[in-house]
Amino acid sequence: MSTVLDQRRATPAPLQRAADTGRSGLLAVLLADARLADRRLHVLNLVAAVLGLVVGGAVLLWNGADVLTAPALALLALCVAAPAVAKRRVGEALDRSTLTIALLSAVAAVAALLLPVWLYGADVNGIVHRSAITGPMLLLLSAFGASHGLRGVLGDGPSARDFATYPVLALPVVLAVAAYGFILARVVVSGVGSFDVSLLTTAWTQQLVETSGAAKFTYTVGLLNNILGTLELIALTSLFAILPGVGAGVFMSEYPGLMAKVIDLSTTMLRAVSVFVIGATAFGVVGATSGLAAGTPISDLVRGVYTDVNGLVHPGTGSFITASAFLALLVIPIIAKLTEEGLRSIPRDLREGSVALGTSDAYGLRRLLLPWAGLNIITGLLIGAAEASGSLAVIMFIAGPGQDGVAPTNSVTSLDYALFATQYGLKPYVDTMADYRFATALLLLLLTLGLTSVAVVVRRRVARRYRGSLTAG
Amino acid sequence: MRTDGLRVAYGSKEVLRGIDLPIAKGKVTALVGPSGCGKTTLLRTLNRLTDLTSTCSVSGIVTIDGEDCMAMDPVLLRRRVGMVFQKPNVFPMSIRENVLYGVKARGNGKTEYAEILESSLRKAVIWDEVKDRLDESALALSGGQQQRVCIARTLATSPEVVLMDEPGASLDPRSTQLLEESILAIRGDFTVVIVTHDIPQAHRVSDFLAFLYDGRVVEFGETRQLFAEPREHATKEYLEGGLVTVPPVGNVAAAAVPVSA
Amino acid sequence: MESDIATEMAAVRPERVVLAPGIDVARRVTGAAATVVVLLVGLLLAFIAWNGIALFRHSGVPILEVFAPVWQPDPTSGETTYGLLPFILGTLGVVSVAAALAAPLSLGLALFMAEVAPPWARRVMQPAMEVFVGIPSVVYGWLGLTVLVPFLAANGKWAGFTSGFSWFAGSLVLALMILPTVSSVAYDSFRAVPPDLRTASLALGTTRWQTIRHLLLPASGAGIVTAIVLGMMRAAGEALAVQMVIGNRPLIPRSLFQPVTTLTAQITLDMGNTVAGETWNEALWTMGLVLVTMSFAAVVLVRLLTRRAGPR
Repeated sequence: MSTVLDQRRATPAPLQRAADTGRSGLLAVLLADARLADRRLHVLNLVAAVLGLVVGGAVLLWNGADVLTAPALALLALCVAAPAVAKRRVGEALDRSTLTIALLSAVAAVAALLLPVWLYGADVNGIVHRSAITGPMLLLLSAFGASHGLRGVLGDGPSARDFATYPVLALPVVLAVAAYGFILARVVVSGVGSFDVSLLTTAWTQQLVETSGAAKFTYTVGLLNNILGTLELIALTSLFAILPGVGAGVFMSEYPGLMAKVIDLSTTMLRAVSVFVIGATAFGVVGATSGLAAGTPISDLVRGVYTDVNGLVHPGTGSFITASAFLALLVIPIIAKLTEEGLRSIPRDLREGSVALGTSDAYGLRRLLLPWAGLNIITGLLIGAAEASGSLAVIMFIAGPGQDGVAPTNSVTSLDYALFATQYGLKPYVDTMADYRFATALLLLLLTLGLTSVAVVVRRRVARRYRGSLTAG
Repeated sequence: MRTDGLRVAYGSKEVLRGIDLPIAKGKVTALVGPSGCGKTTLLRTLNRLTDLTSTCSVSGIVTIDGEDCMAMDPVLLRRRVGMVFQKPNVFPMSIRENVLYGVKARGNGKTEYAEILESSLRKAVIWDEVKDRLDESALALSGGQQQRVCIARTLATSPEVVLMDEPGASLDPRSTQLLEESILAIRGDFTVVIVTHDIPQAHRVSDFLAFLYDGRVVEFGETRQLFAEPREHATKEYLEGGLVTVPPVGNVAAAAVPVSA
Repeated sequence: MESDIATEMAAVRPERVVLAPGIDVARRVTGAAATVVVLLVGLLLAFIAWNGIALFRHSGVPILEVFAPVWQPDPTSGETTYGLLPFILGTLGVVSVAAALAAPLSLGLALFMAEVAPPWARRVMQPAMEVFVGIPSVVYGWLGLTVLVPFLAANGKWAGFTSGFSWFAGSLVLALMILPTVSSVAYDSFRAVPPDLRTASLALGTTRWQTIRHLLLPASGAGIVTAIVLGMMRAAGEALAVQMVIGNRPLIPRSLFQPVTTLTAQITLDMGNTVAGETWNEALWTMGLVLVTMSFAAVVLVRLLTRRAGPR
């Protein structure tokens, strides 16, 4: 026993001390131990790197923190170089990674000072603060600095080296979070800024007004019809997709064979075909009915119809019904796959029980299979709804601003089309709605992210049920 | 290796309640005992695989050649203390890559790979069966062959101690026999600690035997002696019939919690 | 004797229990629904294929002309050439660069979540990733247009950007867009490696990083490739986000910093401006057919990969 303890004391590995004192005491031990002067410099390096990470994060979130970027980088350069210089004095060779990090940090510090505060962009939206460049630079170098520092502090055991790779491994996370944080922040901040409650209550319309003899268009600004249109697309798409989707899913799961394989391949192809090819086809189908006059049932259903101020009936560019039918092509495979997945997860005891009771197929389907797969189907519908509200490519050729209303036979419109049209739509629309782009984008994001969030939550609940049934069975 | 006053708990459940166990160098030590007595936990503590479970807390002393295992870098410890698991868990690679995995992953630079490959497969008594198909997937082998590839994989990294957690539990009798041959073949070169439910097997392969019950070592000694004249009644009962009807003194049978043994 | 056979038969459990053999109402109903789906897909593909070959069948353009490097579809400005090579190469180029940008980032992200992140971080990040898959592509394109393009135009002159609309901008926007998709699929394939293999690797004295490098990455290789191919498929089919930032210049792509175009972008631009039956319009449908063929190839590739990964 005693020899064991002696041996422990004779080894000054910091890891061992950390084990003695607990992880929180690591720094204390290192700083207190005079023999570890060299390590103290490594600790300094680590502290500077952590500081760099904090400042880098802050800079990305808040432009005001930008003044700290250059000092943080300079500090990092100094602190990374310090242990190396100390080593050099003792006669040890400099290691290349140290030099690289220190030099790059020094260069970056100078760059951070020299860059103009605002980097020029073509319009107000395009102006970028320099922190968008210096922040990631600082984060990147700090991550490598932290890795370097950790390695110095922990000594050179394999675990220490492994642990020291973590800051670098975490780098993609930082970059992804930064990119997505930027996207979301941009939309939310500017969206809230340009938001106006009246956008929700009025629809975009144009009226021909005669003032002093000359006819002139005036416009009402709003997103009401676009929002209603999106909701209508969701409803109609779900309506069209649910029966074929569930039917195909049940068939694939319950009646394996050649036909099931064909269905599987078809639904996979549907998902693989560019959304956009489906949109082009929708346009083609609408175009194919262009010979028919407004008022004939097929024309009204496919192209849509509207009545102008003079009471004349005109064909539309493509109805909500057409749009939903093509969106349903996107949603059917999702529902089919999830239904199949749900049915396959039914414990076989339950199935055998049902068969043993001598129930018919239809009865088993209604009373056992569909209730079990119910949550999966709902998940499918939710994901499908998000898809229907976000797949502009399907409807972009046939959609309009929605000034005629949102009856199923009116020309289709939606929120994502509204966002698209603020840039590429008709001139009056662009002119009147450009100020509300961010608000439109925000509403669109809220809607689709809301739907997918609910879908993810439902999906997790379903997954938990499976686990429960597995352990119980 | 040896343990002194080793206590291990998962959360608030104490699984090992003070284990003092010497493990003789170059010998085979078998750990036996009813399910839930803590054999596997003890084994996993010896190379600190318990570190991977966040709820697991370890106190007491484990040493290897007098060095404290708990203060050591766990990776370095595992290089000295290898492990073979209950279920054969070959990697989805060729037999050759499986055996050389540990050596290559550590990246020691130039090594005599071919030599290591052959000698470890020979020690694991599987060389003749696989020498012509070294580049086939290890998953194509039978369960017994896979388990011996796992042994070869561990031996290839030349550890000092080899831990075996019921290595024959999922194997047929023929494979078990080959496995035992392998254990006998490496005795002397390696220290072996084997957990087993197969009492005759423990008798056949081990030099020392520890009988565990409810987180404590009830009896420890030379295998022959323990089988011939066990001190404790419970030991005798277990070695003869695999059942303990009267718990050993100092153990509260009612408190026995079956934790993955 | 008979009862013996019965018990024996009961003991042999069939591979899969279907509700009841033979034709039943349920089978008819679901079969009908399924047939409708197959028919719809068939119709869709037939429609695209029929329109896609109209260029050769109806307008008599030689098939090989499709591979010409020049796109001059406007009969009012000289002799026409319906070369789709700039679009095919543009699509491949934009998509590959996007994958090259997104792959390391997504794999790192997936690795971090699967192997390094503490449980709480995993609980937050994984659903977040799934949710981000649902961000509509028009949002990406539009942010690219209003932020990225002007930024590149103003600050990228030294690299060779002229207008900011460029191959690079298209790839970057796509890379961001497919990041959640690729990470999700890659994460799933990392998690599919059984935990006892990880334990076995660690027990051999390897560090966590060595386990990742030597066990996890090789073992989930097919899954990783599938993730990237799926991401590329999504990117290739995407039109709006790319079309908004890519510049739409029908030239063989030569520089990352110059405008190029893709199949989808060109169809988006021209579909509304051409008349059905016109050769120009027919060429657009041929582009659609090329796109469908490309996705079909990708589906086959993914199937082959998953089948090869299956027995593992």
